[in-house]
Amino acid sequence: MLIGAGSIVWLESPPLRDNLIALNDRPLRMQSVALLDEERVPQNTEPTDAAWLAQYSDVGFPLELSDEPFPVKPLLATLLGSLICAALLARYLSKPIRSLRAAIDAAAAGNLDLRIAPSMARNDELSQLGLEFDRMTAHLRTLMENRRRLFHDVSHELRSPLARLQIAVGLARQQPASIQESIARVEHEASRIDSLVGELLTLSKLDAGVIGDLTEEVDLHELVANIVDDARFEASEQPRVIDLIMDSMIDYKIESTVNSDIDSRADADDPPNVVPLMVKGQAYLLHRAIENVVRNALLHTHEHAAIQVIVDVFENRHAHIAVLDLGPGIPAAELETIFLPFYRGARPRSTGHGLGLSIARQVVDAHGGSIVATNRPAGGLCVEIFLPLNQ
Amino acid sequence: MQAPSASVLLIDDDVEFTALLGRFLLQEGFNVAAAHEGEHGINEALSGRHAIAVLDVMMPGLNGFEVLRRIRAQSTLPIVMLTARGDDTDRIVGLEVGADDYVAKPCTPRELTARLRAILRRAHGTSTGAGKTLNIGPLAMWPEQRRAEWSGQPLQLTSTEFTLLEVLARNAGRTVSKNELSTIGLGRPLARYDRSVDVHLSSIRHKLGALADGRSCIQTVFRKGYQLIKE
Repeated sequence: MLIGAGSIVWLESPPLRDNLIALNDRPLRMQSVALLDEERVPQNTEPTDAAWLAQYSDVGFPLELSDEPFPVKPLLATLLGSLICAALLARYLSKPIRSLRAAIDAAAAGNLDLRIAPSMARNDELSQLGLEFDRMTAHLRTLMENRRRLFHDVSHELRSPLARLQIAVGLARQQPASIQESIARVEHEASRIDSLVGELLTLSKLDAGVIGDLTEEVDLHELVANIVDDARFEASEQPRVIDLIMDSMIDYKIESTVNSDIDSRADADDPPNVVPLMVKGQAYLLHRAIENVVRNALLHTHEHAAIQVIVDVFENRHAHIAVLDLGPGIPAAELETIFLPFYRGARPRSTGHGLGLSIARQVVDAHGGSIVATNRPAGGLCVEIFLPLNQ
Repeated sequence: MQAPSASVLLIDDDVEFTALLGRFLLQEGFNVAAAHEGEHGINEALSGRHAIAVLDVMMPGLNGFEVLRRIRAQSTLPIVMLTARGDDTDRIVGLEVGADDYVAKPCTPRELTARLRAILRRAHGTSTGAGKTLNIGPLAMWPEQRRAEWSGQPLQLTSTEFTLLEVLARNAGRTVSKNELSTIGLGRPLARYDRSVDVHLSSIRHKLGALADGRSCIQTVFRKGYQLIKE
């Protein structure tokens, strides 16, 4: 078997190979190994030097022993070339990641205005990431803006009763005879600040999600009956009709006036024929939420006009509570914004704090439900609450 | 005969608050002492010089609950907590740790005084048939001494717990409504969503043993109230 010089030969016999490799203590360039002509090699001889190889191999001339076993220069050149290519490719791929890191650093330092998607306009996962980042910072900006506005509104709201308080104190000093009246005024304003602080605390807790368990079983029929009951009691100075309709059965229709003989409180203690309508949540919070909506309705409905409170089931999966009034309604553009804290719109300052509906929304949302306001066709507002049934 | 002035201990870090409230309470016929931080409050409470303590749970440093815990470990001194308005968790925790009742802060001084008087009245026993020893199953109660035992073992009950258990015991075998328990036991009608009675009853249950069949002798009657089983 003959293989030409310069070709790679597989050495089969270990001693021969060792000798060849170690010939004259210099490694042989494998590509130039000559194939020994077996027939010409005398028995029991060992290869000794290049001349011996020349004699007995097919090469026929003394082999040169090279100092360099590997083709280092070409290899290095190739390596360098590919490294440069790799580096360029890496830079191209990681450029958007570096932009993102820079943007994240800026955001962490407080600058949420940086938008990154335009500079990452390639159609791949990284630019998708850029879009998500922009969406996130936009959301954070909105939250921070809402928070800033809330602080501003809160301080304004607190200053109003405090301002009145200060005047009352001044009046008391100026006109000692009026002191009882002034004290009553101080008491009134202090109580307003107190309730405002309470509302704010509730709102902030709901916002932060630290409201405790929502695992109580709550009977909405009982809850709403209680609320209507309280509302009738409170509204006893003005003639007000509150219809409470549960599952299309009118249970109560009592006109509450100052001289009413009917003790509506006693009636409500044990509603006899009402099947429970169960949801899961926190009774106290749901009570607050629905009460706020009912109070609002009473506040805005025209004098002598009835409000209706309806409790029924929507599509077998949700409890549905609707509060309908015959007031002026809300401009269509504001039907969503009325649920923002302190939102009062263009209407004159009412006796509430402006937090009732935003608390209602937070509570309903936390219970997995929804609340929506619509204008009634014949005038007035309809606020509906949907809560998932406990099934 | 005029009762001697009861001494009220105010434990609150707000110095001006305690000064103002102290003036009001003095005018109402009480003796008043104030402690402005936890350790001092605990020492004063355990001194035996006071009939009732008002404890602010929102104190910095050694917090109110820890103070409450340490006082309770050694004393059944009646304690009314001052809790932040609207903070349900604090109230429940406070009652569980052993407070007798709570008042929201801020409150009018009249409200606070009324609450103090209600608790103090009950700490000296309810007026109905006091003096008769009550024996229901393993439970034995001596209302005049405000002492109770279960199967011969003494029970460590707070003032309010004793009062509530006494009401149930006097009505053993019959369901007592939560409203009744609140009015007689706490001196105030049951407010909506008020779980004070529930927490107190739960605490009493834990302190009492079980009946022979493993049940607790205090039964919850759904939507109606509680009942002490009379066998």
